[in-house]
Amino acid sequence: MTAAAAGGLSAGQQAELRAHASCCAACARELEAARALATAIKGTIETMVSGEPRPEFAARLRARLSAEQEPSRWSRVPRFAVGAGLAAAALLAALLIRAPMREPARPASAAGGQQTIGPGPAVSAPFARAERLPEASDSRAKVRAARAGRSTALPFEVLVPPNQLAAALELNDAVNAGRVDGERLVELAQQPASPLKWESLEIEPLDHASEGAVTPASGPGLALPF
Amino acid sequence: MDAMACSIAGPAVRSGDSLARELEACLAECPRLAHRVALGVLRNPTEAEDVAQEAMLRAYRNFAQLRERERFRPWLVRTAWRLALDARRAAGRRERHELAAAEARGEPEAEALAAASEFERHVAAALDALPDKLRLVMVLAAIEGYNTREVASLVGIPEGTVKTRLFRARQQMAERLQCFVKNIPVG
Repeated sequence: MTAAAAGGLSAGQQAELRAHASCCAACARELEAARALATAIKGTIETMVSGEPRPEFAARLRARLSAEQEPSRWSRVPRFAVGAGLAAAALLAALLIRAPMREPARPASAAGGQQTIGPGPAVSAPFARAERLPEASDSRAKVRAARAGRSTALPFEVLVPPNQLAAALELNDAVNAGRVDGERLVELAQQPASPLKWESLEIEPLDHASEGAVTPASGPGLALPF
Repeated sequence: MDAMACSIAGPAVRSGDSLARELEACLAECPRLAHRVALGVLRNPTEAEDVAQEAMLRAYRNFAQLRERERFRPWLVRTAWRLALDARRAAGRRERHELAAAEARGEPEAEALAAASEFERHVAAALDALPDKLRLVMVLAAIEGYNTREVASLVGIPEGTVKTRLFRARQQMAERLQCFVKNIPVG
């Protein structure tokens, strides 16, 4: 009866049960009771899940969503682009850290001591040339002054992708202030993903090969990387 | 789209952006669904609202991967369900702790239990005793307007599987609640 009330009988079984219940009062009562119980259970669960969120729900959710960053910005950025950005930041840090060490050996140019790192005048299109101030904490002010044509000690130039000058200056300040370990950044930038290993390869003369089979595993000095 | 839902997404998205419009539509339609799924587990409107809020927030963060309605709603149901189960477990631990403390003080436990009738409490207990797979289809089928095909699309399983699970869930609940069969008026 429970299965019948739960809808688990086939059409044939249901017809058979109905036919029997029509002539058996006890089974008819039992079937009715099982159906009533199933209906009561269903109604109770429907009541449980029929509630509506309170009116302030929308305002609360709106406030939380507004506090979130807009999803269309970051979720659309491919992960490789993020990785490339980090790599560029590490490379930039490497340039920034190394430059002060080389700085005293470089002769100052006629144009206010400004020098260039990289290809020099041939600047590729997607990059903008930006000036860099290794030790100064007020680097932004000096860059602005240099752009305005005022005399400023600018030891050299680095190439910065467009719209990343502010980030580069932030990183420069962080390194100079000791908040970022610049040396470690340089190490990371120079560290290859999987360094290559060189091993000497010795090959036996061909006439020894007939004395016995040489398997790749037993070959002297033969190291297969896979 | 009800009035409450229409006002949700407004300031959070930029107008004129197609992604924003899709997001707005999903955010308008789905909080009620998340809330009801959570209610099916928690049966506490306030806690269910918290879960629905969190589920919607996570949906918002992942919206770029969930743009299609066919993916958004099942994802939201699963997320709300998992969050509600987690909240239920946490609440269970808290309640057991508080109950033990109340018993130690000699206080009656009646407050929470008195709210629901005896039958409702037994139905809730029988629902909780179901395996998760059966319980989820039982709750979704009880949400207004969802037939077995829609439940199948929400859970991501064939409709025949939904019917089988529904039958097993109803049968197990009826067997657990047999003691009430004589008390329910036959209509």
